[in-house]
Amino acid sequence: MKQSKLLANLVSEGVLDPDVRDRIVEQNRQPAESDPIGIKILAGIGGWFAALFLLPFIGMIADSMNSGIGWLVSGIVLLVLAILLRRKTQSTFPGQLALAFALAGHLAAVGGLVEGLSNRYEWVSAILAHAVVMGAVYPFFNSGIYRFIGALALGIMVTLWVIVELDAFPLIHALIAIETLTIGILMQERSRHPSLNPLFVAAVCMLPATLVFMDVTQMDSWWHSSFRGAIWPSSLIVAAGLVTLFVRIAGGWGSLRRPWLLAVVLAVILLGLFTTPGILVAIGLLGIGFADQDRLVSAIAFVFLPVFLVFYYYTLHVDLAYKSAVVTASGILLLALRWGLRQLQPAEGAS
Amino acid sequence: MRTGIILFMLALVLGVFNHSVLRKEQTISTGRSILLDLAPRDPRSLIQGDYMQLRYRIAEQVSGDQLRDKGLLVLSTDSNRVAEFVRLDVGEPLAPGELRLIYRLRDGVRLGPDSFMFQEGQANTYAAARYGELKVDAAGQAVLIGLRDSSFNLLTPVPSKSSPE
Amino acid sequence: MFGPVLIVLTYMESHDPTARIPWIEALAREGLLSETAQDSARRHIRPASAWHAWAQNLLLMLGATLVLAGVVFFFAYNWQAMGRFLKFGVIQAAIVACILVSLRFRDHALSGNIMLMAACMLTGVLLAVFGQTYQTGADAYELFFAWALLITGWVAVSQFAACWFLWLILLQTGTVLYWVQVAEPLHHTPFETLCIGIASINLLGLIAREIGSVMGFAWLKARWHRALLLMTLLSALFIPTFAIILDIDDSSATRLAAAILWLIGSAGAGFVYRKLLPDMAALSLVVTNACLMLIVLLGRIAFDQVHNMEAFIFLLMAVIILGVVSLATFYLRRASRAMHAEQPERAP
Repeated sequence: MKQSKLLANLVSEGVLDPDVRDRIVEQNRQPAESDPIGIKILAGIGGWFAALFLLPFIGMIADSMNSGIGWLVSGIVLLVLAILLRRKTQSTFPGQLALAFALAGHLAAVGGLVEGLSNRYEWVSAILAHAVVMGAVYPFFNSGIYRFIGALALGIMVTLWVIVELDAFPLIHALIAIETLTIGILMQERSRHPSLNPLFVAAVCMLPATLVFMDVTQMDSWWHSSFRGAIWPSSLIVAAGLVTLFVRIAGGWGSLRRPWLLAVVLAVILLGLFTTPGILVAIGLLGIGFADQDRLVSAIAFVFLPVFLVFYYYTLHVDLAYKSAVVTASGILLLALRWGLRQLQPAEGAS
Repeated sequence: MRTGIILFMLALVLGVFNHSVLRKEQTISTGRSILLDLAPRDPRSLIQGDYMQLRYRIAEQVSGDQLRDKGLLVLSTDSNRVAEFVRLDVGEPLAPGELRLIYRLRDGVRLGPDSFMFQEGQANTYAAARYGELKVDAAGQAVLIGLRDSSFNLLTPVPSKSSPE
Repeated sequence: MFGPVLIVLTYMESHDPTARIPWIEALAREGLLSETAQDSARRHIRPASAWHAWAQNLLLMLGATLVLAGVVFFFAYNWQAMGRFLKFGVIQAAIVACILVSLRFRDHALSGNIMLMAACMLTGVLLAVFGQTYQTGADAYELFFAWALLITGWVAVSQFAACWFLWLILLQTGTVLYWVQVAEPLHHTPFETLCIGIASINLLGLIAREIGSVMGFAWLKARWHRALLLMTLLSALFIPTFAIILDIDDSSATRLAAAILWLIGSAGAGFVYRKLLPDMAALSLVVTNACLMLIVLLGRIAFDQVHNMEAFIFLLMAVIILGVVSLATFYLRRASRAMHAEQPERAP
């Protein structure tokens, strides 16, 4: 549907004032101010590497003072510079410089904080320092790239901390629950605050990535053989998230009375329990991507789906004969479900 | 038209495949059985499951400048059918008891099949492998049909499903 | 792992006269749409029938993928209790069934295409089981080449991007394995020749795709194939070129040839996707690739020229990166605006 047709429909339904419609049309003539994603990626890579090369130089200054304090102070100075630069101008070079300053300043400030904190809990202090700096800068430094990299780094650090340092498998489930919840909450909120969008994308990347991390630890070549455990709690958590998503799409819990939605919900739970929760995550992200027409989310889902299948093939616990039976049966279940869905009139479907 | 191509390709795929099966079966049914001394080394391939990599001792004995990309070795067998390297084949007639086997030159000499695939979870059974049993036809084509232990017993998978670790 | 994400990502944004939900959200954020108007707009864009079709396609693709994966897992288990002729018979019967069922659907309907794809996959399973049975382990490249060759006919008439994708992957896997197992140990074929080979396969694929797309084949409209082919093409040539910059003394003729091809390829692709077939995502890929190379080159020169000033040289590197990337983003932004102006109605 074209934009003009949609607006006309809204006006005729009486939910849109014709004057507002004209303002929207007028506004649409101006080109979008947001960069195409290709430029964002290039700018992100450039900013990141420039920041890395800035660090030794900062280090020289920092070492001339007490090193921990020195790093912290130069980090804060750089961050403030970045924020001011970003506020002052939107043009290309200063923008790129501000991004590099912000990333370098962030790394320096985190390094300084870790140095100042206790040495016994390196992981915890690094994560805390990172979270504190990011929390302080996020609202003020208006750059999706910085926000995305920061949030993603936080997720990766926490996941690695759980896997490498704590070596406590059940915590993985807690992580997955937090990530699922974050996605659910941000799905509602980001249309109101665009600044939360990078956080949402980071969460969308981290949920499947955490599951992949988990799968990797279950392979027989993994060096920490003690890091094993039942996967079903994660399956249940992700299934719960997926069911909530379906119900929301279908228009509330009342719609559960429809038998086909109940069938879908049941199938989802079974699928997750018997195969791998990764498949549920992929389905959920495809659903979010379709609902919000967010190709980024759909793309992430499409990339992770085969990854999950391959990891599922290589993980132990059960032999291939069992996996084969379960995967085939799940596939047949889904095809049967599709057949059932075909028999229903589209009008009865969800909206 | 499209249907025609699809069906023609189907016939072609099945034809080519079953012809290859037939040739392998001929080697197995008419070929001579020999045993090759093994130096075993085992991972999982992407779509074929568990397997063991094999290295034949004979392959380590063959060297020299006369080796070509692909050629024939002349072997002789002892009373236990264990093969020994005699010479590189240059076309002269075989002495009684001798036979030819194809080799390929890769990173060293490679004799036909260099891996053995088995049912998942049976790695322990095949760890005792000492000889590879090959069926070799007159042209030197070989099919690896099984592994035998040091007292020449054929290794067969344990029927009870061993639990994967 | 993030490579493919980035590719698909590149298509996120482009000028789009069709009403889309992100646009609705942006309007709502500016206070131009009320809550009810927003809900109503969402229902217009994503009506129940759209969800119905989406769910059906998703179930079909996931279901087929899982069943096929199950079949692959089943035969990978390598059942000893199951005779070899039984295995061959079952898989061949399944292939025949897939082909016959695919012919029952209207030409190029999704279901028919998926059945054809299943037949292609099962052909691979058949060859794998052949390898298991007769222990043909020696040269795995043969399996991939035979597989690609056998399904060529089906792929050619499929008009289904996923089939072509499978075919290209098989061909390239076979090529890489051939280099690893035969060409390198036996003929000492240099790595650069492999790179040029992979690049050629992708170049041919890319050219075929562009011709088909210009000729108006609807199934070639999606642009992710373009990005994937282009990215593989440029990366394959990037590696030897990169090696030349790092070690200029050790540059064989093939390496030099690969570097020249990289240069031609980048310039050519840049021209094509800026002027002939304007595509912001493809252009960004080319420019990013060239930026990386330029930074490595300038960095190499800087490290050669400047001595004993480590901190300074790092600062210089940072400036180089900032300069190159700023120039590139400046160019891309201008190109993006120009493309907008030239073709405002381009659908995504």
